Amino acid sequence: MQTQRASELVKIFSEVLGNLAFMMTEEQASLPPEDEPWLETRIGYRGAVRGDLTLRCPLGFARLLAANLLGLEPQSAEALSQAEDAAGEFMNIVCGQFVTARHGTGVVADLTIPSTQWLGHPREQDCRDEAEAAAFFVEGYCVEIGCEVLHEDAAA
Amino acid sequence: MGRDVLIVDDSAVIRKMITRTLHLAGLDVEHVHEASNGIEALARIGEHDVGVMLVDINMPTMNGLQLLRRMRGNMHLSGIPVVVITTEGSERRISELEQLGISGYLRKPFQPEDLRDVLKPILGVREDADTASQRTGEDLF
Repeated sequence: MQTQRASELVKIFSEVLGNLAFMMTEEQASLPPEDEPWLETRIGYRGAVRGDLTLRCPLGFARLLAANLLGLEPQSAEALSQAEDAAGEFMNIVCGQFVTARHGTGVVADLTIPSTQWLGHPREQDCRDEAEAAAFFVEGYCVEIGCEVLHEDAAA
Repeated sequence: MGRDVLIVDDSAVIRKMITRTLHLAGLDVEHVHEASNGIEALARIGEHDVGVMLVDINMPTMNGLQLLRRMRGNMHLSGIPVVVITTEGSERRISELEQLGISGYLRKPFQPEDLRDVLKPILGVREDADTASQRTGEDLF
């Protein structure tokens, strides 16, 4: 069962995805086969409150995200070359919105520079919901987003 | 004649998105230059006659706050208008930016109209901008 934090994160993720990239999240019972590498993008917030957010997704999702942000064809070489950057910047925006939604505008937290690592091909872990994470589908791609809170006692 | 704009953001995707917005919004822009951090921005300012800067806060090497402080302490750079475009939304941070004399603040994600509204008093609009500005709502972001 998702925590309130994870539910809030999913709501923000979906809103930013829709407003910025015109992409909609959808629920799907079974997993489509994934035959491409996955990437993991992590960003943290540090200050009176601290935590990390993580996005795990197939390369195809990041490529589509880049294409939609830049008005490119998803199969274009430029969309591929900007896929990692698009995922990082997307999480940067999600993280800023998440901190404000959780703690209000009275708390200052510096965001870390997003980092990305490749998870291999094919991905070993299934797309699944966890307490502090959520899995769903976007345009047919399985996407996971999670949060790890390190400190959350600051008064907003 | 339009002015040069310098976009300072470590994300190439964001720099491209903003460049596209500037052109489609009908703003009177001569050239768009790019930098991925504060150090590069200072170099670009030395190379070009920059009329306005669009600056992110969260960047490696030299972040936006460090860049602003450096500029405000330099009489040759302190007059360049700076609009901050960032994901951060804390009141204290915005107040800090205002004390550093920023000309505007936009929070990501923003609408193209928001960017146009902030930059219009600084850049003005092109004479042929009507058609372009009508397209912003459907074409951008």
